[in-house]
Amino acid sequence: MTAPLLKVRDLNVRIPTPGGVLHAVRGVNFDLMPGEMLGLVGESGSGKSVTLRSLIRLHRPPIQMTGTVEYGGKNLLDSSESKLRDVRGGRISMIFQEPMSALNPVLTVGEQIGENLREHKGLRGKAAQDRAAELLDLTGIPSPRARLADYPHQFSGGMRQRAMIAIALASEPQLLLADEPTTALDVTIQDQILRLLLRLREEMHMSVILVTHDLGVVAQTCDRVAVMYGGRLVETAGVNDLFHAPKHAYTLGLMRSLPGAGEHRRPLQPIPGGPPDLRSLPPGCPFAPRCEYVTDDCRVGEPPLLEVAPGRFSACVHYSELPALKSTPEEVGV
Amino acid sequence: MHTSYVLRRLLQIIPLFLAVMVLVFTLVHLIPGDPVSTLLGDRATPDIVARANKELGLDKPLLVQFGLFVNQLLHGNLGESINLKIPVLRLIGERLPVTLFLTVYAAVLGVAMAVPLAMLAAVRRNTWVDAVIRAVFQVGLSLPVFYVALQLLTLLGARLGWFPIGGYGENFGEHLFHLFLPALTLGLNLAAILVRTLRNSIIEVLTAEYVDFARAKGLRGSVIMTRHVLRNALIATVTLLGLNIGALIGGAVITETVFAIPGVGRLMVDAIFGRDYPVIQGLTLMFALIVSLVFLATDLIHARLDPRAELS
Amino acid sequence: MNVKRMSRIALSLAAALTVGQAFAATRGGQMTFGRYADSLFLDPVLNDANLDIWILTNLYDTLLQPTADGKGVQPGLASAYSLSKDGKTVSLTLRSGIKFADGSPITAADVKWSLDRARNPDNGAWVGLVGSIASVAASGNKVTVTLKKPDPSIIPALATFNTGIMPQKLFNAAPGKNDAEKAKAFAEKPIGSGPFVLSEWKRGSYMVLKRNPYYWKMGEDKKALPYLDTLRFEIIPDDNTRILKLQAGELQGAEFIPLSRVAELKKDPKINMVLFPSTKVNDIIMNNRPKLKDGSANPLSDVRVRQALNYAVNRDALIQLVTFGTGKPMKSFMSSGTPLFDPAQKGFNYDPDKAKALLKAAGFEKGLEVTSMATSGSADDQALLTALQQMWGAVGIKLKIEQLDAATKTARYRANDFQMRTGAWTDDIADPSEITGYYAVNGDTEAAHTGFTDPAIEKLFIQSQQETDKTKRAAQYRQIQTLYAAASPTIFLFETPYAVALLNNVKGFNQIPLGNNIFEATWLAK
Repeated sequence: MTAPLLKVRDLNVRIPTPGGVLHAVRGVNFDLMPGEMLGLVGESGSGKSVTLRSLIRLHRPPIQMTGTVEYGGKNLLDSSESKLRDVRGGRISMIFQEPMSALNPVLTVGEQIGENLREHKGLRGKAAQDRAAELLDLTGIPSPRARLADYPHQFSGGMRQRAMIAIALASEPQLLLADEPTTALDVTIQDQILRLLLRLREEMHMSVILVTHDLGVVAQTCDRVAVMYGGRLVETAGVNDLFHAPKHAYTLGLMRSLPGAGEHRRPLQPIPGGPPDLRSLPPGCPFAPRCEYVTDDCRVGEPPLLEVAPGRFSACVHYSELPALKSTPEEVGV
Repeated sequence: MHTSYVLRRLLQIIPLFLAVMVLVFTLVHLIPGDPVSTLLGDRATPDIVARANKELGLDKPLLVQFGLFVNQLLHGNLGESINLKIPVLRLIGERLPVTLFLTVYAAVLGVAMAVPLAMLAAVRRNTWVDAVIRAVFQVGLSLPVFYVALQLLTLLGARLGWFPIGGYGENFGEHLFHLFLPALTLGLNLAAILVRTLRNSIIEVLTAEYVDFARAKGLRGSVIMTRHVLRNALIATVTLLGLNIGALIGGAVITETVFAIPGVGRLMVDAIFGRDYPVIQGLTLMFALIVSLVFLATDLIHARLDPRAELS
Repeated sequence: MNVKRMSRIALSLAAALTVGQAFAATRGGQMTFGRYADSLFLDPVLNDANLDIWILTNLYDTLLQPTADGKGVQPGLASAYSLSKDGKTVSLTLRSGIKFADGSPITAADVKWSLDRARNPDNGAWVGLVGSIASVAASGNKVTVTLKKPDPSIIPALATFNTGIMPQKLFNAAPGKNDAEKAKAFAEKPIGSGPFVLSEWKRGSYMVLKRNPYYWKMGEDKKALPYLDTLRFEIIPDDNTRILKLQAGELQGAEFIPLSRVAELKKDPKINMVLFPSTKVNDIIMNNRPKLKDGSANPLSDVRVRQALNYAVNRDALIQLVTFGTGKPMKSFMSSGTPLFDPAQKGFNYDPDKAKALLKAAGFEKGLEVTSMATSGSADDQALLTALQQMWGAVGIKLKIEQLDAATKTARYRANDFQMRTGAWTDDIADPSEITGYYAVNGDTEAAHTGFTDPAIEKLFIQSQQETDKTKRAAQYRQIQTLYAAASPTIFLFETPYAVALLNNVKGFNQIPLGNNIFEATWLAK
């Protein structure tokens, strides 16, 4: 049994707001294996981005992060600033959703790659330039050497995202955290970027945690999927298993709301209601107000995430009652 | 390219000049009072005043006077001061460098005070450090420049004797020494104006995505501050500084009076009170020119600092 | 020789020695004097302002000079003078060996040319002071000034700044097509025969005057004046800054000390706070005309109303409030320092009941409203008018204050578009004719723009302008002053001194009542 690359236990994130403390992430646990591509899925407000950023302790006070994020034998949430900085950008890199705001507008792309190279690889001058050009080439940007001197606003949307990936990969990290990297791109570009991520994962033997709300993206790229709802993980499973037979009412609902390209032309069935208010959650399963399978058992206390089958975890009381979907990832309109 | 832009901007100054000239000329001649009777005061008999006005050409119709003025200007002549009887151009040549020295000195001091304090307030926002910094400058802004000038002069100049009391000095070193207190007065005023906006700009930058991205890259705080935060904040500073050139020049007037500095600020005030038309007109045109050039320089520097900016 | 005689000789010798020592001025050094504004134009004839007049005497000499008390004349460039019996000729004898600051001799031609220039009606504002001159003849060391009519003021006129003697050749050698242009060029580096000569002038900043080695006047030590090597004027417009610099020792003297600071500086052991008697009067000028410029009826046209306003003023209180005790009440329209001021004048005492009675008699029992112009930014005007508001309010007169800048105020004043205004005056010549011609006579300036006219005063004035008998002239002026007070065209307020603060080691500085700053005998004690 290989050891997990990353072990997250009881991760809680509390955000003080004028209207009260927002308990955005409520006790998240999961493991990430080396070389694995994990998809972290959920609606907006489910806490997936907040979780991702907590992994490298990116939130600043007064936002509070508790729990353990174990990497390389240490808890990143407890480590000193300098140790954390070694990990950040060096062993664990992150790419953001909107490259136009994530890249500093007044520095050239070459300079921004160079920062990473200087900080984590100790490269300077010509060596750094060469490596930077290589990275741009790696991410599929044509005329890479010339483009080193360009500013972010001089790149098109897709190229910008590639540039951001190049920056993140400069230090050849073990783990890449990707926060909705394709959400802001149009569909054809989206496809290119995802293929790029897959290729890079292969070539550089990286693990990836991909945060997205789009099940189609998950289906295309991930090995395993973790579903979040109301600040908690409600289900984790291998991607095929998840799509074939979801073991949480919410996941099932998500599947059903996808346009199906498969055998049946069934109408879209969006999940009724809206996401829960994390400042005032009712007791019990957070999905209960919207669930068609809800019973009183669901409302008694928050159902824990349990291993309901080898490698499959679910926090649904009624997991065994849920129907299979008879669909494959391919059929789910990907 | 840049040169054509600069040329175009410089050409745009010409219509501005014309507008300023007409405006100033009309306003100044419409105000009651004339230079000779103002100077002579009670002793001015109608004969003397009439004769003087004739000599000065002030009895001609306004349009004719304006025409003469423009004609003179086109020959590079700004006329002669009625009260001081020396050419306006020469007066400006003697006094302008003094005010420029003071203004630049004040800008340097002001920025040197505003930027670090704004950064501190932004980084420690919503803590007592932030509150104190903002409160101090808020109070400072409400204190009249005159009052601050006098306090600094009394305390640091007279009582402690650290600095000379007013005056300008004879060489560069002495200028720096003599002008420190007045530059500090103006600089504090400028810093008070800059700090609030700068703090907000820096906060905007600090909470920007690219700062998070820089943190996610594991860059050191100091690197983030200088390369990422400061450069972006600098853009805001430069623009703000350029826009507030007017405040600096205005403040120079009062400061020059209190500290007995022979600059154009005081010259302008004296000229207005004395209805010295050629000096008023000449100085106004000069101010218009300076402000236009400063705006142009600000735009150019802004374009240099911010690659997204486009000079249209 | 007996002992008594010897001891007497010894005593007188000792006395002479100590007296000699006590008066021994220290020569040399630079005095820095703080002025509130810079000179504008250093030409005796074409200048326009006190700023220039009051220091011109340090650069240029006149044939006669004012005495130290400012009331009489003493020999200047002329060592002797006499007035003919018929009063129409003044004969003057020039001193021997007098030179300009460049070493060239002062000739009779220079004197004639300077006086002719001063009396040229095209030249400047002061022509009136020498308007009675018909012709000037000069040759060798004799100067003869012939008058059109006898003029008792001609002697003081020859001691007034606009008759300063200038070097004709040097002036004409200056670039320029006409007198005005040459004057401008010459005034940048003027050469006169006064105790100092201009060495350096950075406008708005400082002016340096250096000792004129050819000056004719001797000091106590029988060597030529001035005692100082250099006189430096620094321009410091802000009163507080000027005082601070003095207290820090960066200046040795500062003029125009605000009267509010006098008491404080008197207490300062390092400073000699001097109040020089002046010819400065502060009054309220009233529009006496039946209608104001806008056509409305003017209550001030009634002499009873004007007198009431005068009686309702508590001058002692005003002097405390506005001059901080340094002033004294005006008893006449001219200052007590002006020659032929009548000390018997009673002026107006503080009598609010009388004021109310007068108002009632004039039909204003219910009170009335008046407006006065004030110079905006002048703390003194503000203090003065606020106090008057109170005092007049007590007798039912409501005073409105209109703040205007100096130039606007002057423009409206000259257009007679005002009801009241704060006024001040200093004499330019040590003779009462200037101020009387301005205030009491309805000439070019309509009696200080009051519109006041009294045929009796007019007649007396014309007589006095030709009256060479001092006693008779004094009697005429006594009458003029009495008639004027009775008609009360203006409100008499107070006279104020010139407040100059000096460091203790500054000796021999004098400011005469006309305002001239005399530095010729100033020295710095070690």
